Amino acid sequence: MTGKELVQVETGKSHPRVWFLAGVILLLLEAEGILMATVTGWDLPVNAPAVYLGTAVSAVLASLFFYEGRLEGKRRYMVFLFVLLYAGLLFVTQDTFLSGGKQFVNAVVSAVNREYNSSIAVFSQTVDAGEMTVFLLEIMLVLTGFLASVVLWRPDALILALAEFPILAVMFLCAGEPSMPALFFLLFGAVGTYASSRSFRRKALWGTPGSEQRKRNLECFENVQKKILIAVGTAGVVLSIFAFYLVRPGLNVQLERAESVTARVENRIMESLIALLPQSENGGLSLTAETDGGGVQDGMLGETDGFAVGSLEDLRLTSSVKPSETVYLKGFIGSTYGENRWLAPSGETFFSAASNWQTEDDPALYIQNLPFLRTMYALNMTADGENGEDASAGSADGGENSGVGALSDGSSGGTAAAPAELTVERLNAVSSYTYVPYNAYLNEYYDIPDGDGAVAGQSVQDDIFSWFPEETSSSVLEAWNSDEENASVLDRVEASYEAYARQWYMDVPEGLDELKELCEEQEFHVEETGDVPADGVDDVAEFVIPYLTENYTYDMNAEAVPEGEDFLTYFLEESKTGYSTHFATAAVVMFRMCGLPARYVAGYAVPADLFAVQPEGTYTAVAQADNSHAWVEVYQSGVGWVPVETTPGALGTKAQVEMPEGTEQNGADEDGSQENGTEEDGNNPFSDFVSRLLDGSLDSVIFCMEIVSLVAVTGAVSGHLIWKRRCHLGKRKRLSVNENIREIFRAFYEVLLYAGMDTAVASDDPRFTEIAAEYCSGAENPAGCREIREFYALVLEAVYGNTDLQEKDLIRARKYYRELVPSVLRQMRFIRRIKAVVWRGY
Amino acid sequence: MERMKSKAGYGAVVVLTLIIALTHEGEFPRFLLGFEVVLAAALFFSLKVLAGKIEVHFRLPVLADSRSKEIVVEAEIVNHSILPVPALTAGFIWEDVISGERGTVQMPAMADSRGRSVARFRLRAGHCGVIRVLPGEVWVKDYLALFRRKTAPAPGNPEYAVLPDWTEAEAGSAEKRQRTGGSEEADGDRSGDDYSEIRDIRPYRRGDARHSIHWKLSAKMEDLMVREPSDTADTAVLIFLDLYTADKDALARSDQARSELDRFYERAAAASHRLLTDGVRHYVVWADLEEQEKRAGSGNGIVRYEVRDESSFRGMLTALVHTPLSSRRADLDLLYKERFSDETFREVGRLSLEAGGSRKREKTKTGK
Repeated sequence: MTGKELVQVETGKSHPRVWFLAGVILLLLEAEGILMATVTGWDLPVNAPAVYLGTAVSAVLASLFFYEGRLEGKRRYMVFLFVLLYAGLLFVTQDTFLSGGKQFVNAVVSAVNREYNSSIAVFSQTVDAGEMTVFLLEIMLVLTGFLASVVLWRPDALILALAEFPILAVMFLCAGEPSMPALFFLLFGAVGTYASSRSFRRKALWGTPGSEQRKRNLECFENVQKKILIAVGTAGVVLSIFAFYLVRPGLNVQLERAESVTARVENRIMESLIALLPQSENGGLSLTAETDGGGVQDGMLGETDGFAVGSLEDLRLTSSVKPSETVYLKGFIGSTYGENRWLAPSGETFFSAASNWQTEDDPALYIQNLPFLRTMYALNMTADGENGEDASAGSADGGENSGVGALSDGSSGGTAAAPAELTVERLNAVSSYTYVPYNAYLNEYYDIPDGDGAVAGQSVQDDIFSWFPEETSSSVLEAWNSDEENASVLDRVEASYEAYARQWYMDVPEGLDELKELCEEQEFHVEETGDVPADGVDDVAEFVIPYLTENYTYDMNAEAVPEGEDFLTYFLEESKTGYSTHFATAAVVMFRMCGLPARYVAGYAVPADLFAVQPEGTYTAVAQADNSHAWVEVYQSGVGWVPVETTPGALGTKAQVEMPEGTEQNGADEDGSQENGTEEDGNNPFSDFVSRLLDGSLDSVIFCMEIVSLVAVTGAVSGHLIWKRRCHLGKRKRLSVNENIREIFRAFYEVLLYAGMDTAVASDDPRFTEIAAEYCSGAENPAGCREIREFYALVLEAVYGNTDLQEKDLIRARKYYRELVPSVLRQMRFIRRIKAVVWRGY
Repeated sequence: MERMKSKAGYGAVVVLTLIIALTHEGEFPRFLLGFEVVLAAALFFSLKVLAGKIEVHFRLPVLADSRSKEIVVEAEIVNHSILPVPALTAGFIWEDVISGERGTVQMPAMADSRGRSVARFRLRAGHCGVIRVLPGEVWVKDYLALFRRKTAPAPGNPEYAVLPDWTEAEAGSAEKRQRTGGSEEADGDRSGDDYSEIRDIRPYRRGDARHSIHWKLSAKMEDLMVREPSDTADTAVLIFLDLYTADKDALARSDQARSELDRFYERAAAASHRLLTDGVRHYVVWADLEEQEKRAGSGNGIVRYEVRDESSFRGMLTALVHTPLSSRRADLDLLYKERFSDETFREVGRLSLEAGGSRKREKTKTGK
């Protein structure tokens, strides 16, 4: 092999202006996409028209610079001149540029702080849209030049990806949330550049520089590249619509199935990665790869939600019966509030006190099991008839709301005494705890290091609990307590523990005088003996919960507590916005102020409707990260600790919390999300759509693309038709009258062929007029042979004649065309006729 | 390689999007994943359509030329689609008919919508013989170079005849003559019964070759005089070529054997061309026994080419290199007489491949 070369024999028509425009659009997509992603991602305060217009102008200038594709001669001096001017611009605007830069950094850091609950320091810099605009414009000036070089001058998808990927990665890592249009701009820009860069480019085969062969190859390359750009861009729009409506729904189903598996892997990877990062406490960046529930492991407030990396499945619950109420699974239990955290109960104090309670074996387990044992005992005693009438009355009294009726397995009645069985399988939840339902029985393998605090996690056996639902236990025990003759060792221990709870779980933090005063004003009746009456819990709850929901706002993304501030005080007095942790903390303090022993609990709240029946007859629910929750447990005299839901809008509300009408939380309560979901009647649909588009929802962007596609297709078809029509009627201005008449005749000849005339019949065939007349006849008012002959004579004159025909001849030719063609079309079938008119433009 | 890179790159993007779609709750990654899948599918199907619209013809602008000249093979690529083809690879297989050696040559190209381009390959042959051009594979790539699809080039196996370089051989002979002092005894090529022996001297006539002018005599006669060669219209001047070779396979394995064949062709070409330049119309005769076998008894396999000008000379060489060598010995005299029994001939040379391509020193024979 001694050589190869490529020769272009025929190339399509070159349209330098169209190609230039395509290049500019591609560059605009890239440059404006990055700019828009940055601005919307971090909510940067800018003068939008100025910054977008400025970037567009620089994109056009950069396109002009790279238009010829060579960086030779004067262009080198232009680069040098640009560098000088840019340096001068930076020098003149250095203060503004630096201020804008600081604001930019502040915006990014603020987003990071919000996302990761960190408190990275920011510059003390006032926000000024003008300075930010100058900063962004000067950055975009350089960036646009760079983009032009990799998009237009030497299209290279790899370099573009290497430049764009870090920007997007940093943006997403730093909590940037770019708008949907920006992402679409970048998508189409990237696809276009990718397609451009794939075009064949091997100049060594294109001939020697300056040769005609080289010129033709370059022209062909330009044609091919830009045509592909346009083709891929158009296809991209159409495919986007297709992907949105047809592919995405199917993918969603598959991805959701896969999520449960991948989330676990993802969590493990993130745990490993985050373990490599430096962790700093006391206000620093603190990342944990645990779920929301895992973040409450040490009672730390404000930074306790962790960094949930996905929709993790934390626990799987399998119950022998379908619960009729939310199942609360206790994890961490906080007794004393201080230094922005809840502290676990003191084991030393507990075991010291328990030594006097005559408990058997481990006093901690004994106290933990006390509600279960007492309920069991009460039910058994009732069933045995020893305390028959009263206890039976107590048990049956509640009907649906009492006894085992709460377990809606249809087996209430005869098997009322049987506790249910609940298996709790830990999937991704923190392993520090055993997640225990209320009124459950724990065997000796469990350890409660803090006495009456959290149950430590164990791996000895599966967590299979016998338990009574909270309402069952409460109603049975209330009934049991109502009979003064009932007394047992268990009851005496319960009384001792109640006294202990009243002694140790009543502390309130200092300050908060107003709140304390408010609570005391309620004058809740607490018996002199110290016993809290059974109905006291409800009374207090009816005060505390509405107070919190009316005066405070639920927000999952509540801002972090500033350094030096107290978590509770900041929530109660400053931010007044928070999530379950905030509400539970405040409620615990308020319950205590009202005279009831209360504790802070973090764990999982699993709504009853999450339990789904399984083929083997059990009921299974999977608690995900968003089921992790914080709530209050209040000691009810003669019953024990009972959970009280204090968070507005929580999914697993134990009881329906009455929300004041019109408050912000109403919408959230209904669906458990932050969105109000309110849609004012009479909203203008157009303005609603525009606002949604600006917000960047995917469906609105797709809708826009549909409209664009529709307009483009309509425009293309119309344009095609108009062009064809102009050609057929001889209205091309660049052609002479003779040539236009020839064009008209050509269109007529094509119509005849389309109508079925034999292709062997040439236009110069002596029998042409007779054959043509056959296709024109048959209609009601057929065009006769005379018109055809006159038309034919005119065409012959136009083609072979020596003289230039006049405009009136052209009009005459058009007249013949208009008479003859419809008569030919009338002979055709309807569909074929439609096609001839709509597509071929006859 | 480039395609694999593109494929790997796109695959990586899809996997990355999948990971993001699984780990990120936003709707865009899922849409993007769908878009990427649809885009790949669209590219695949569009490629199928595009490949069907591509037509490739391989052709040889020149079918035969001397060994020192380049062989030009052209692949004409016609794109009937309204969409351009950004990248395609056109390749062909060349085959040396004598040795059976094969090689593949490829070249990337592009074609505009409704356009036509020519990928031109220039090759140089190592030996004399016939090079057959077999249409190779034509691969069309999609717009992102993710997929490629083979399209069938137009059928046809054009052959190129690599002719011996007769000028070099002639120059070599002339040099040899000069080296040996030009004596008749020392020059085997110019024996006393040379085919160009002068039969007559006559005045110059328009159309006579310049080299036939007898300069000395012209000076004496003060008019241009030319030598009349011994060629006559009714006596055929023949050069016999014996294409017998005992080991045909050696040509495929041994470069030396192939070089000997080249030398044989070159000597034959030189001898014929010298006669031609001397203005002697002559015939080159050889036996094509394989052709005779194919014809199954029709004819006796003798091939006779008349060389009367440059064009017929080239035609003779082309036919010669196309003739397969024979592993059967043929009696050329006998075969010739058998075929052209009523013709008188005069043999002026006989070359045998088996004798190392050298001209046998034989007396000029005449016969009928």
